Amino acid sequence: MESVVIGINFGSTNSSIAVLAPNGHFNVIANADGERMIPCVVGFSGDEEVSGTQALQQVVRNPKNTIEGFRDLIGKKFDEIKVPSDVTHPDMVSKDGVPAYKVSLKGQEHIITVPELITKQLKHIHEEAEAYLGSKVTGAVLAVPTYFTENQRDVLAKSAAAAGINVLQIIQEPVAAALAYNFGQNPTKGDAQDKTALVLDMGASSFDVTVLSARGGIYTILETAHDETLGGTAFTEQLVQLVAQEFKKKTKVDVSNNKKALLKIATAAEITKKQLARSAMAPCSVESVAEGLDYHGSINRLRFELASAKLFARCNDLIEHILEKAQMTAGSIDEILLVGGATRMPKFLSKLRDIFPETTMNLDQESDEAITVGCAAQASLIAGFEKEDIEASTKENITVTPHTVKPIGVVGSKDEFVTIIPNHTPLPTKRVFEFGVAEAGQQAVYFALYEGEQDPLPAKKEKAEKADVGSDDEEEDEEDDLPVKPTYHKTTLLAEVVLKDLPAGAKAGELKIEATVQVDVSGKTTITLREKKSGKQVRAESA
Amino acid sequence: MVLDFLLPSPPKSWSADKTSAFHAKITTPTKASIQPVGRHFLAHARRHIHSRTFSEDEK
Ligand SMILES: Nc1ncnc2c1ncn2[C@@H]1O[C@H](COP(=O)(O)OP(=O)(O)OP(=O)(O)O)[C@@H](O)[C@H]1O
Ligand SMILES: [Mg+2]
Repeated sequence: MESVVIGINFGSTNSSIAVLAPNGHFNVIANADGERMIPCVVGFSGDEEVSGTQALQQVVRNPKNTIEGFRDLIGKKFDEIKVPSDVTHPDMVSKDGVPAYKVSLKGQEHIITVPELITKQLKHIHEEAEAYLGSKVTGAVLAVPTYFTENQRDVLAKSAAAAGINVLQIIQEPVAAALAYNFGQNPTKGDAQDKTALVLDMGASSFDVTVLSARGGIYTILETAHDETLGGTAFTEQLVQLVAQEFKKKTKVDVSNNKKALLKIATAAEITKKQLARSAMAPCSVESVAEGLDYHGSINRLRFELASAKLFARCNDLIEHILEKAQMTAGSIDEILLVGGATRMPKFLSKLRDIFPETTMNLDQESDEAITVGCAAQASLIAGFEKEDIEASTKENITVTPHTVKPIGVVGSKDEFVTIIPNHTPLPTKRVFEFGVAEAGQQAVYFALYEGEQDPLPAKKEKAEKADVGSDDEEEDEEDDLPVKPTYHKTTLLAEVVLKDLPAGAKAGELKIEATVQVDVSGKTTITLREKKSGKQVRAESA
Repeated sequence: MVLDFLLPSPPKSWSADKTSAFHAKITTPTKASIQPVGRHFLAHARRHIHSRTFSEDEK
């Protein structure tokens, strides 16, 4: 049997697995039910223990023995968590301080802790992967949210090991997504791909946003923010309210306090909501909502969007908030990476355009598969290494690195600052670039290196409050609204270097000078100028 | 990166025997964590573990 490594996205609502395919692409693999998203649900039914889709299917019928949402409880103490107590949730107890669920199996009461559930779920998806691949899985990379603590990561690693998974590495979700989008991963000698992304991850339960810089292919998280009450479920809840109102209008039956009825509606509304991402109108049918009465209706997208207007506004608020926290403007974001199923909502995307009218948004990756794919990419990259070496490389002595605070660059003839090494660049670093030589017969060139600072941004114009829906005349003054790319000016002369005795008799622009700037961990700077044709060069090093 | 401007001759005041002058250090770098993923991070880790330089890395 062949052996393979996989990437696992263990989300709070869905899990998925990806693997490197022979064609060099990363495939998200389907489980036995043909689904690429495996619900994170464990259920108990009579004598049987079920997982994934099967478990989700019994949630309405057997809610007391169907467990969802346990991923977010990893590593938490019973006293720290909010315990839901109603007919639609299993009962929870503390087992030696660890949150646990009380379920019935084979007619007996069982107590199952959160780590045990995680092991069950991971074992389930691991088996699905081996069944699909027809081979043994020898290692896996998993991702966790940025707000997971060291302890939560430990508990996850142990639970995964108990499931028989050889955990190669646990990485951060937005970083995994960035790998999947291949963000800044192909630097060349001439282009270091220094850029900054905003990673927007809206899953089922929360909205996690991250500002991530890539510098010569290396990622640094600059800022994170999240809202753990803003996610796909909150949007589905809006639909549930709409349906409950309609149902009451039609039948005079009020289900607003009927948890079981609301759960039934939510199951149907979840499907309706996804359809609304693709069409302007979608049906919603719920059998036997309450008192034996069915609901059959349809919802139009506009109505859903109006009902969710506050939630959409909160999405944009969180984005504005992280930009402010990172002391950045919309213009300093080079790319937006969309992650998580809920970012597929058309209104989410169009609202995003209010802040970022022209920023590149990557759409070549299914948003809810990005994390899995990134994990698989990392897994295949490190598959050949010894476990100790992987562990050693993630230790602080290697990952904690000095970063530049201000941009370093050169100044053009019109005094414009051209960044060579941007701020937030991990050290040591090296950049290579090329200049022409000014005049015919010029025999010496002068190179000056500066540190710079961002120019003040033009004062923000007060935006007139826009009507949210149905205003078609938004486009008129779009030009003025474009976010400004930050520009810089020189502040400090760092160094001057001269390369002399260039070949005589050269024509204008014939000689090319290659300049190499290196900065080491202590900030020591080395500059090399080399004329490419003759190989004549000068190397200068700061104290 | 090819920069579309040209390097001038040294200024008049530049003394003929000098090839370089360093005036200031860059602003003191701040420590931050880089993410241990991707090919380029691995190269960084290798350089660190084996104390290799960039040019040795290219070989
Ligand atoms: N086409 C769609 N339109 C709207 N919402 C969608 C669509 N597809 C998926 N979703 C929503 O995305 C959510 C699931 O996303 P994802 O699989 O990324 O979550 P997760 O990672 O398990 O959750 P979390 O990140 O909160 O832990 C669900 O709420 C689902 O309704
Ligand atoms: Mg998620």
